[in-house]
Amino acid sequence: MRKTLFIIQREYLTRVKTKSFLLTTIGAPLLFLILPFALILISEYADKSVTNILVEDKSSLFDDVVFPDKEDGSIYFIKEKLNISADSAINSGVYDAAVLIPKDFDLIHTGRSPIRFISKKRIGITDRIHIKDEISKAVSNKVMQQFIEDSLLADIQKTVPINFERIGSGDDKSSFITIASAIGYGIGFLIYMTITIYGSMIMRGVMEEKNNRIMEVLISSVKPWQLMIGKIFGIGAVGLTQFIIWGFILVIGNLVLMPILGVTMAGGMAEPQIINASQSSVDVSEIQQILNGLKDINFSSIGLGFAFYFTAGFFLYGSLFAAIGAAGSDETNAQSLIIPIMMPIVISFFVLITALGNPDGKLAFWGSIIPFSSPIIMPALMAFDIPGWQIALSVVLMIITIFFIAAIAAKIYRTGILMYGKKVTLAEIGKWILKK
Amino acid sequence: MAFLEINNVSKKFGDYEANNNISLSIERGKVFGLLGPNGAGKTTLIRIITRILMPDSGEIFFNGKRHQDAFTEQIGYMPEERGLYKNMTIYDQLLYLARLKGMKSSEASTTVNSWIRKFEIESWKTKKIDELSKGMSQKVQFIATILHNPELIILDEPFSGLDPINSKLIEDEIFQLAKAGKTIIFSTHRMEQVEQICNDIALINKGKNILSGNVTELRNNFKKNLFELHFSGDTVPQSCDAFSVIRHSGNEAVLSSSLLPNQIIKSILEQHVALNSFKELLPSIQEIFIEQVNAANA
Repeated sequence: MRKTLFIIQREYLTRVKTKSFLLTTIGAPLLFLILPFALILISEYADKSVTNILVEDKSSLFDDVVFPDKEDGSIYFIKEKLNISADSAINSGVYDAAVLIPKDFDLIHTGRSPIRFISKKRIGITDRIHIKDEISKAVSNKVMQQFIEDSLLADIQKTVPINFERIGSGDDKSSFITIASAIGYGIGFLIYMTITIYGSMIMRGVMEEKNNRIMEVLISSVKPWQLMIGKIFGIGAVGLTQFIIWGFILVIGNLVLMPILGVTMAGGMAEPQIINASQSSVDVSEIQQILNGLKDINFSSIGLGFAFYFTAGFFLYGSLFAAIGAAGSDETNAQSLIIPIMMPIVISFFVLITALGNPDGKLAFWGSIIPFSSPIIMPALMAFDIPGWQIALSVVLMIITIFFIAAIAAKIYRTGILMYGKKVTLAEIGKWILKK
Repeated sequence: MAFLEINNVSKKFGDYEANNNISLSIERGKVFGLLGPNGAGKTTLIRIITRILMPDSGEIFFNGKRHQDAFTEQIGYMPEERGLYKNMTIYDQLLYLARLKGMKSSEASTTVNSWIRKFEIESWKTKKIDELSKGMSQKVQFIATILHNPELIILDEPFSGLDPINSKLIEDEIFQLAKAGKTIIFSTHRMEQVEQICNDIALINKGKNILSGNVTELRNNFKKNLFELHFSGDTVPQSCDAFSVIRHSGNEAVLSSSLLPNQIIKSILEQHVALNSFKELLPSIQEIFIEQVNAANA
């Protein structure tokens, strides 16, 4: 036991003390901080060109309509009746493009004599969508104006509130579902990332010891299973440290940096909200709803579930990664052996996305029960109230599987670490497992 | 009772018999040579002694007790393929390996420091293995093998890759350790070293122990009754009743005789040969090795 602790300690310290650990631990959140700014900067400077669009309305149907400019200031609609043709106006450079509404434009049969859009330069897809949307909106508004009274119009255009309720549990708030899904997705993604990133770190660590030939010195001092467990827990602790540091950075970033940086960020985002004053009041109630939703989330059960499945999933897959690292003769050999292990992880992640859409469905149920997908799916579903027996079944199956898989992994590991120079196939690993 | 007693140890890998009923007895304080061609089963036997592998059958007694995992703390093993952590400093590495052998932290650190001083690598203490020459890392590997003061030391080709100065350093250390009562198993292909260093040997071939015993006794047992002599003057020894001349060149001759040395010398002197030196030719371990392996394979 004491020696296993030394192994864990070494695995942990040699990794945490490296420059690359410092770089990724500090660098990753910095990147996340810088990324939004970079995106803003790119959109600010990348395409500063402005498209001035002439709206030539020969039908005079839209005389009282204002076509709104694009928020980022890249598209301006200008309504004007010209003496010269639109073509020559564009050619002379006064306008970049023109929307031509024909004299006999029909609001109902819009295809009979269609609206044309002409331009000299090619118009990008986002601009096309904006132009099409604005014109369509103007046309449909006009149609409604013609046939419906103004007072009714406002009523038609509002969203209808619906109370979602579940029999037996009362309120089934949408805000709760949204938040539970977000939390579930976050947890599932975190476990998925942890298993893949730190799992392959385990694999490389084992391969290093094997190829360095220090393995033989080590296993003449300690048992192979001690080395394997030491490696899995040591690297697991590295991952945990990284997460804790990221957590701190996130909290500090939110408390300290965001208010400072927020000034510039909000500056850019506040403007459209001021324009749509009615919308901003909706935002406030949404925040209130999120807060209400958060109150309904059972964080202690999520925390417990996360702790169990994080540890169990990491150990389950970690031991398999260690086994592959021991069996593989080199990096390429190991890469080919890793596929059967990566497959259930990746599939589980895709199942998770579907399962969150229907947490009471069959896929979610089986995903949360089967031990190879349950570490990713069950903790994600914990945010919803899953029946106790389902959780118990999943936990029991998980524990049984861990013992079973760890025994198999230890066997592969023990055999693999003494095999040199031979490319190992899955069939061969199967033989090692079956050997007494 | 021998320090290490190996009784009828067998180990199979599939159909391949790596060790077939091997029995050996290794005395305390002796340097024991484990010889054999490549693939003979030496490494398997060493791995069984270090408990990296378990034998299919047979028993091992370590210092009179049935061998068990706890005894591996009293074994120091230097495998043929050397291995150390590339990204750890020499000091950290040695400390770690010492602690895995059950040493306490303070004890380990004192011992590591004293060995580092003894092998004159103090200035390299905080360097990583990557930065060292091959000979230097060999020294570190040797320290790693013996720093926990093991009773049984197993060295697989300890001199490969070492220059003569470092070879001598390790050789002296081996003698020192044997003198201090440590038992040393020494596996090698280099036979001249076996004669210099080992007290006893075992010759393993195709998983079997085909020959074992004291080095001097073995050489005597396999002697071919050949004698070498140097002489001066023009009188050359001639074959007679007492001996026959096998070959002769210049002032050197090799004789074959079943008589005792004194009787042979007497006959030579009777032929008025001016004798300068006379010695019995004992077969080298290398000759015995080749002869035995060929005979076993025939």
